[in-house]
Amino acid sequence: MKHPHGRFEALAGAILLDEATAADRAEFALHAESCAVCREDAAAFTTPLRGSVEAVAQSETWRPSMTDEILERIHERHTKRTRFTITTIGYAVVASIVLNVAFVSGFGGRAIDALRITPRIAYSATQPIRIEHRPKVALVVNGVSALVGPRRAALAAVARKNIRPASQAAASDDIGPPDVFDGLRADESGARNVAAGYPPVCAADLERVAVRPEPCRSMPAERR
Amino acid sequence: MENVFVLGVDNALEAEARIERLVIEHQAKLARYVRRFVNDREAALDLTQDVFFAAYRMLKADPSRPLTAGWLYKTATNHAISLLRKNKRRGPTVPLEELGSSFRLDERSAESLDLQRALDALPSEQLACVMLTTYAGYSSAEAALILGSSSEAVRQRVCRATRTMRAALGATA
Repeated sequence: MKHPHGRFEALAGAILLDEATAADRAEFALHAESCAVCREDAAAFTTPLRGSVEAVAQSETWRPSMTDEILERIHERHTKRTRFTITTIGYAVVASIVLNVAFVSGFGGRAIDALRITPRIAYSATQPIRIEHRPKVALVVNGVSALVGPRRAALAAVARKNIRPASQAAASDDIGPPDVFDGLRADESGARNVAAGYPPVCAADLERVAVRPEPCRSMPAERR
Repeated sequence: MENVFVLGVDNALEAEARIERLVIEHQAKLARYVRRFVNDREAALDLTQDVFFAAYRMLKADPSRPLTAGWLYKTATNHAISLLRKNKRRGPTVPLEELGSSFRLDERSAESLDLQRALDALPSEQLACVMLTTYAGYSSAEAALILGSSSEAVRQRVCRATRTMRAALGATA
């Protein structure tokens, strides 16, 4: 007890409740001689607290009867709980029937399909984008891009006539333009050899001859 | 599943029978105890019903659990203290002139009204100690068990409560 009087307050309480032993009473009396507060407390001992309160309690005549109310409340609680349980089960059964009917009839699946939204951005955001760097020789075979259509390839072949090697030009004047698809079939090393046989050309000629492949529309746009 | 349901029904019936016996045995004294605590007859009736209903719920969950009068007084004390604190936050709603109106005409003796005036002046912890040890008739050790405290603390609070009650009665006399 933090309060220095705590022990003597407890002793006074015990005397008030008529629970104190003779030793307790003597100890308190000894202390009360030198303590004004406890002397004042001792004055209250003449009228025991418990006795006076019990006397008042005995005189009370209020005797409420609440048996019926409590039992009624208990029954009401039973009814409420039963009603709640039945209602919950009913809702669950109805909901399961509705869902079953919806999916059996196909309405549910269609509704889900209608709600399904697949934005294009989701594809580009979730799938890795792989950028391949292809060697120039693989892309340009015999001076013609491997990814161009026949019309552009023919145009490129006509434009290439003037820059063929002298040996080929002398021997194959009557051959005509080389078959683009032979170039497509050539393997990488063969393509490199063919490319090495061409004389070096200036940047302006390359710009004129090289045909850029058209970007595929199904691929995402190039990021800058 | 069926066994669980039958067990639940059995528990409910047993709890109902036991609570009926408890209500018949303790209702009047417990209601008067709570009325002294809160000084409001209607609130006392409501609180007493709540106490018995809490006892029913507990018995329904575990019918074999022993339920003593001490448990009823403990629950009633806790409910009453909660109500007093709520009323304290809300502010006084009953005019002083109507003090003692929760008592019947034949109960309005000077001693009874004095006691109520003195009890109203007590803090809730001291009030609980005084009510349990004097009105409900428990010893300080039993009151300490009910309140979850020590018997020394209960006796100390009773002593302080006596001082407060004496001061309250002296001030109004």
